[in-house]
Amino acid sequence: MDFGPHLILAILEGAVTAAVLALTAMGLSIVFGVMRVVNVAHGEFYMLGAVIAWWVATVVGAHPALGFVAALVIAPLVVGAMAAAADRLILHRIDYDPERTIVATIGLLYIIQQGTLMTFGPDARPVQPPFNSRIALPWPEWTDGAFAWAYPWGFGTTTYKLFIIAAAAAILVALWLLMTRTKAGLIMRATQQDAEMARAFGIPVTRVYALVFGLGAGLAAMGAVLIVPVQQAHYLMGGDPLLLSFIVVIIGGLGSLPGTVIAALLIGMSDGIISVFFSPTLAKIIATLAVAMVLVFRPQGLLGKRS
Amino acid sequence: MLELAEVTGAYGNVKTLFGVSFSVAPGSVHCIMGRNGAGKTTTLKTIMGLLTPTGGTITLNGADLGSESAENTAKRGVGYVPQGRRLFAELSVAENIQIGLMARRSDPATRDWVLDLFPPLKTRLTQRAETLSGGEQQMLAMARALCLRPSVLLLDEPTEGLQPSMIAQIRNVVMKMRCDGVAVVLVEQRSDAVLTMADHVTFLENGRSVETLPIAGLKAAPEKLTHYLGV
Repeated sequence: MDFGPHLILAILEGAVTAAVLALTAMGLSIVFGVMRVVNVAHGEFYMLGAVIAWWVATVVGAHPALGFVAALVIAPLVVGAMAAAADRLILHRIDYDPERTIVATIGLLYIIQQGTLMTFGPDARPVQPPFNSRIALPWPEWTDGAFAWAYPWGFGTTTYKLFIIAAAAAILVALWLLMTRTKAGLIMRATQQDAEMARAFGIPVTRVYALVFGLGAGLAAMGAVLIVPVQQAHYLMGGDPLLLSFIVVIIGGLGSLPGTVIAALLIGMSDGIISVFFSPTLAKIIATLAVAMVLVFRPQGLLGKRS
Repeated sequence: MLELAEVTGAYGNVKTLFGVSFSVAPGSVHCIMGRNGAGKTTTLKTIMGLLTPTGGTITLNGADLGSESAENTAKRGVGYVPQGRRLFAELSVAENIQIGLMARRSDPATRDWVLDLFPPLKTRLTQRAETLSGGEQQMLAMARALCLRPSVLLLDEPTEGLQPSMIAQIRNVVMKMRCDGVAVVLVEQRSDAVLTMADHVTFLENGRSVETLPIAGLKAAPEKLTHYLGV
């Protein structure tokens, strides 16, 4: 295949990675932005989303589309509820102290990971995509003195991958509307800016924190449900999304939601393109290098505010 | 009637209040004065429920307020204007006001009422709070608290750093609240503002209320200002 079509394929792969990464990193960013909690267990909520999606799809059976839709609704809700419970049982009790919450979420990471290993097992398990037609893409070629559309062998994508991109974009728009156009969003933004004053104006900050922790985990779970028909559910699958989410959140600016989306696009696309042309390991090395550069030259991130 | 009786309190393990007592009747302005570190802001935060008292009692119309959370204190009609305003800086003026309205599910008429009290805010509704001038920020801080339709209003140095015309506007609103039957607790360093606004004054020293007197008594004995404040 020529370089042009190869590059387009790499960009498409990158867009899928970026879409899922944007959802996952957005969850991490919201939790840090509102609660000032660095959630080291975020990747495990992602993994739980994938595992629960497999479980729901298996239980529902029937047509793959039915199981997938059920998983897309149930998995984020269950993961969100588990995260909210973890907030009340653990983070609230240590008063959201920054250092202790890091240690506590490391503990939570191992509890979730090992609990999943004991119940779900060590095997990777697939979820059927609801639809997965192949789409051959056209490419212009110069033949006989004129351009004509050709369909190079292997140059195409699937309807499901396009759906992942569209669904992630729709979820992000819905999240933006939630944060900017609803009372719940206003309450979250007020709590983010000054939790003590929020309390002085009747905002139940404890409940807001539980909701935000649940929302952050739910977003990670949604990303996982979208990707699990492509990547399979496995109890160790939370590591990479956690690393990439931290990279995205640091580059975008801690707590900045627009910054998180931009950084997710940059990192996701570069990860996809470099993985296709070179290797996934090189993609991670370059992303880590990008974080180092940002920390040196713009420590507040692309759209973060200098403290 | 807001009543504090031998209230003690602390910031973490550091004791800061060692016995604060005073009462504020509806429709009166009660000023708390004292040197830096005397416990004025701590007293307001303790009334508001942002700090938990370690002893003594705080009651509002006979009902216990000392064991209430700040959320419930706000819902019971205690409005708080903190030192330094502490607006939700990245929210718009309208959103800051909406936060105040949500606390007691106040109706849209309340919004119109507070905007009539502070007309300059009407043209700034979509502007971020952090972009307002100091005087406008103070107006917004007061408007946000008044959205609760409070029966008790806690004001922590509301005239700090403001120009005279703005101080006069703040004073007019405080006087209007007094006429409307609100019990106003005012922490203030400026003696001229105190003498024109307050009905009673309580002096704090080292976290303890040492003397409460009517404003007429303070006017008759201005040397008390020098004694307690060193001015």
